[in-house]
Amino acid sequence: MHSTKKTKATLDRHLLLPDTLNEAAVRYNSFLLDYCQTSVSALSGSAAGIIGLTGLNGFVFYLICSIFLSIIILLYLNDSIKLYFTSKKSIITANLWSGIQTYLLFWTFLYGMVHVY
Amino acid sequence: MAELLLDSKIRFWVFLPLMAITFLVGIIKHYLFIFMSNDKTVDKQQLTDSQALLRSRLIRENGKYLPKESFLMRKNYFTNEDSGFFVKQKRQSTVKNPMSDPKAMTEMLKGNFLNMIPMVVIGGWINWAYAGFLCTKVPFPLTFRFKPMLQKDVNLVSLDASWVSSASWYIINLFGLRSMYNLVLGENNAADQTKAMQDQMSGAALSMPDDISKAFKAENESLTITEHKWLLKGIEQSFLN
Repeated sequence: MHSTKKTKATLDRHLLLPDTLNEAAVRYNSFLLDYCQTSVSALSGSAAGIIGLTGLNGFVFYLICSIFLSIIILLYLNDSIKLYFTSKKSIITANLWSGIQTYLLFWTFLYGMVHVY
Repeated sequence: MAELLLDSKIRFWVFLPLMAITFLVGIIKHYLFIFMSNDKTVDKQQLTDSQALLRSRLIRENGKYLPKESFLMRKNYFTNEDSGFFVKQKRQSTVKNPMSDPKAMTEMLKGNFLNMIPMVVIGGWINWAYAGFLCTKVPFPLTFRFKPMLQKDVNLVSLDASWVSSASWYIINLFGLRSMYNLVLGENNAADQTKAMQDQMSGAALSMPDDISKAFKAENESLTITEHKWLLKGIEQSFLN
């Protein structure tokens, strides 16, 4: 049992070089990552709006939330990151920008609904 | 700085509807697009050509996993100077004038139509129906540079820059809801045009290059200069260890 495992590991190392990645799978994975990021941005934006964070606090809150998400994803994937993503960095930085648009929208929206009027 | 007091009816009759309208229009657009676009028919010749290109690319990229003999056989099939697939196939330029092809023109018209309707009609209607309200306030301070962006139809010099007018709120929604469409409608939705463009770039198997003979020539050259490098050298040893 042990030896087959070992063989499989060597095989994996041989065959799973970065350029043998399945392009469609990579795209699907990054789409799922995007999905998580968008959800978290929308939810944290709503939360920030309802709490009534203003100014710098709101942006710090966004950063904390998205970093929290990245850490959770990293912990969840644990050792198998190499199987699903090409780099660790991309998980953290990938959708920071598109996320902030969603975050700003929901933050502004719920802040407006709750606190402005 | 004095706080402005907004009528709370604005919240329910302007602020909320604008967001709902923008979102729902995007969704309607998505389903209209699905409804109106019929399956593209691809003729056999084009399909053969694009599959050949795809196959050649795969050989270039993954040829290192093939034994040398097999790799050379495949390479020869495509790039042999006398009988290679890329050399032998002569295609006339397939760049068609879209005006002469009624089918392509209908497609183009549909695409433009679906983009124009929300942009012009809905945008115009919103400008007409919801103009001149101050909707909300962004929860962070902004400089005066942002005033024309956020207060499109409200010209008040003394107004703080973080107030948002209704027309600008519509535009903010238009951009901000983009990734929400991904969430709701799935990956390849028609509500967001930028995604569609990206899909074309990534080169699915069916997307045609404009000029097939040019693509053949380029692929021929790049396959010709590809050398075989056997990557599985010593794989038996590493299996046994």
